[in-house]
Amino acid sequence: MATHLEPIAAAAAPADEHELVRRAQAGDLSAFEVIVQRYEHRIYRLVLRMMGNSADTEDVLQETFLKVFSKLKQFQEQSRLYTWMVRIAVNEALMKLRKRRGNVISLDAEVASEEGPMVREIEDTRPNPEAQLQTTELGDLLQSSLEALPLGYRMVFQLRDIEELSTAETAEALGLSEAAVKSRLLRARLQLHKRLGRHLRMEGA
Amino acid sequence: MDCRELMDHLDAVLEGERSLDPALLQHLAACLGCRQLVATCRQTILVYRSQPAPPIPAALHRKVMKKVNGTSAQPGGTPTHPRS
Repeated sequence: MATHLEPIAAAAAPADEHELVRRAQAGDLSAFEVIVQRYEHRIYRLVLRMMGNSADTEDVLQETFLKVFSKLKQFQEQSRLYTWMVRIAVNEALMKLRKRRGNVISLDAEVASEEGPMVREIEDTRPNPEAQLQTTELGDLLQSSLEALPLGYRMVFQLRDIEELSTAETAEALGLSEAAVKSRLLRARLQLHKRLGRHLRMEGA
Repeated sequence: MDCRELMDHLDAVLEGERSLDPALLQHLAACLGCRQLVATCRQTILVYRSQPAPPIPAALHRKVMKKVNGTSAQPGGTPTHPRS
């Protein structure tokens, strides 16, 4: 039953982050390296899902941390460091995508045409106990399902539901309103539900 | 409460808010479709979260730090790199 669901809570910033930022702002490279080590995996995963290949992802990651370092003095700690870095990474990735595709890419691309009335299609997601997938197959299915989402939905789902940012943090990182984040998150969840529902254990049904 | 209204509160349900509207809980108890929606959304999120992050190429961390070391845009003047 829904009343027994475990909370999906937003992750808190580590307790030593303020001190690390203060030291890195003062030019302490070892403190900055701790920051890089702490967040490079998450930012790599995020950017890889945007870029789709490791070569571009490496470029974006390097540019991101270079920019983070050069702008660190401007970081006011009104937001979490990770949220601030995600915003830089997303902008760097979008710039790279624009260069690659030779046109304008934005988080609104592909989304505008889908902002009409929501269609809820849950009737074809009956439990299918036989459809227990092997780990690798499930991984492939998860990846392809995520890639099938419009970029604007994918990013919101990634930040809000996978990286555990709050609605406000996701809005800040992507430069969207909180209402847009909520709307896109719901659409992303419904599309993933439609694609994945039959493959997942239906524990609430 | 109907299915559309439940979707408006999906975030609150998934996050396990304690003060959920009793009418929402009543609807969930009666509506198999909404229970399936909540269950698969929750399952989807948890499965995605449980996926291991892709491995970072071994040399990438060094490349990042080399670039940072080489930049002239030091945020705090002369860089320090104490060994710990």
